[in-house]
Amino acid sequence: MTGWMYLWFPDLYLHSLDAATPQEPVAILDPQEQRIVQLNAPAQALGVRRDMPLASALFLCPALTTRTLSLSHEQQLLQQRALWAGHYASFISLHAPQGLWLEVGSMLKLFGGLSAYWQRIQQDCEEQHWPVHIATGHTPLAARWLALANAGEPTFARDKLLPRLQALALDELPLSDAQRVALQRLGIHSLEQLLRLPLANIGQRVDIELMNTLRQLKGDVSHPLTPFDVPPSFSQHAECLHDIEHRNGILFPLKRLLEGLCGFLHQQQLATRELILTLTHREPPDSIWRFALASPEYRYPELVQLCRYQLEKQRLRAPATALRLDVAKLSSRAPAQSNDLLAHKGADREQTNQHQHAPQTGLLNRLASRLEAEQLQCLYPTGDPRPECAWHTMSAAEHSTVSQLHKAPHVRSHRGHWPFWVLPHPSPCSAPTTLIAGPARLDSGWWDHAPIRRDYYQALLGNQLAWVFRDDRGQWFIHGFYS
Amino acid sequence: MAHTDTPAPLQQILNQGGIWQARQAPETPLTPARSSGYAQVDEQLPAGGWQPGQLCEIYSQGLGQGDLSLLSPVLAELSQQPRWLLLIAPPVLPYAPALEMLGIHSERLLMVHPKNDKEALWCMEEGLRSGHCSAVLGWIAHPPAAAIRRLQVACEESQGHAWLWPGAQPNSAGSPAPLRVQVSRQDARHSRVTFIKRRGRWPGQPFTLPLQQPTLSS
Repeated sequence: MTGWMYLWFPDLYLHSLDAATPQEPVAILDPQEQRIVQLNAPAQALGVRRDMPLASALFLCPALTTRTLSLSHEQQLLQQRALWAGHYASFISLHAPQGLWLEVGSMLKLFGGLSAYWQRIQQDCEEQHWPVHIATGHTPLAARWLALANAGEPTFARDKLLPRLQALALDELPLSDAQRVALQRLGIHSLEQLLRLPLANIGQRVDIELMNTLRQLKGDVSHPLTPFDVPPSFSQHAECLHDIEHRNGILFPLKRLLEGLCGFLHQQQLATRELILTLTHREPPDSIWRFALASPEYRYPELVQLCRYQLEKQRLRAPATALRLDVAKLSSRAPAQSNDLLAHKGADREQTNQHQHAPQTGLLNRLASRLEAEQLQCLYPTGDPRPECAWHTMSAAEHSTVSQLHKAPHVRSHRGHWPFWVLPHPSPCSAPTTLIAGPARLDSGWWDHAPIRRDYYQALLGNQLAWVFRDDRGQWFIHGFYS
Repeated sequence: MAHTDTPAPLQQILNQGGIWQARQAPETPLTPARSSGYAQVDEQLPAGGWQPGQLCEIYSQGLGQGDLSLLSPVLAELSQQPRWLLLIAPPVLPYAPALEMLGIHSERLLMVHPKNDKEALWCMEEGLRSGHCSAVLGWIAHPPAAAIRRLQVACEESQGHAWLWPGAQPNSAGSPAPLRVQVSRQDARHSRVTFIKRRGRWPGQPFTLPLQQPTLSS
């Protein structure tokens, strides 16, 4: 079953700017003539309207903040939305300037039905503060027209959608001025009336274009859509309404870029080990902050958290006016992390697939973002019988990449009883009085230049049970503690 | 003066969460307790084992008191999960062959060496909240009560296992941790264990625990 969903992001450019300060009246101006093309609710409440000249708008609302529409940036914003939508659909088509078509029919099984799918999209957009109108339809155009009128309903059934479509007034349809005038002259005010006319007549009386559009709406002819291709690399930027004076202010615009990034990583099945954040200031040069990760990451909540920690370490040199996010060190996702489908099933997944995966690396990244690399250590048993050589420590970042490759030789090192704690260097002591067990002779290491010959004992030193040894020369050492 | 209500100062203390009330106890715990591997200890623990979501303070004087023998069966079980066993500021390094012998997967161990107590507490809380750790063990000397309360909240919310070594002697002022146990070695094969605080029960009597230790042989 094919079914289409149209996501309309009204005033996309405006909402990319004002989301951080939703109380402030903001309007966006047409780049050619100084007219208002997008405005937010506070501006509207003060009487500013679409198509109003800038002078009138400022007269009504002197505190109005204005920006000029940048078509290229709005196009980029739509691309970011398309990258995000990659989580939800495999076929996406951009419809500039503010719309996306998603092919939804094939995804429903995965998301558990259309209502659940719809809700997830809505919830996602709400969390990210993107106003959106959603509608579905049996044809792409039906979805679009319903979305523009904000009259969507989660169904693909033609007989349920038709009454909703018929109820649309002429003003709610995306028609050209000429078409609108021609239809008004014919006394047509709603889509219902329009659909009742014979199509050939419409071609004659209005224009061929409208006739074709109506055919596409009904699904009589196919509606070719260009698929959105995921770009091979990721570099996106965000503009700010006001200069960001504190590093905390960066997180909000950065989060939106991360949404796009995660969509990109999802569609390319990649993970990243480095984020590069470039901040533009009023005076050059730009600040470049590199956030290195201990292990490849691609999940949105993790990346946000990591950025939060990394930002705490940074200082803003001067107020920032815009930021750009790039990624480096991309790698394909490790099998240990690709349990994405299971990731939604809750925390008990760790128990279900025991032994198959290395310990999760998300925590490692978080700790590494705050600490130095050498503060995080893992153990790596080598199987050498000499206690000093029986294991290495290695930095945890190294461990996460190595551990899967060469598993430590799993030696059940000979029947002995080893102490839980071992001192980094044996410490000399006097001959112990209470020996509990021993001796266990260790004579090893003749193959390299560190041979040892020792007799190990368990000894009670005060109330501590220690692991002590006597070397060739009769000197006693404490080497560890049983605990 | 006849007060039907609780007098204000007490109510204030209750609001601050400084006092645990028995009625706050969930009727059935969210996650079942894990057996400690020692029948005697299970009997002493209110939930019949180590209960996830309950921070436990362990008091022992120096290394080698048997405190880790007490935990090693449960740590071995927890290390079966593909999650980290997080060790924060361990006094020295654990010996990998010993871990293997106890059945603890050493590759699951992640050791953190924080620069100060503040960092240590942060790591501990982060480890608990991340859900990526099967257990979090921390050696942090004399953490303030507020920090312990934070850890307990993190522990409860994540339903994780956490053990904290705050020092040699329990302070008399009490602690927000629901479990406090003192462990000292009696002789080579036995430790003396006292549960000085058990949420939902009276403090336990000291008892002698035979430690699970095979003998040294060559």
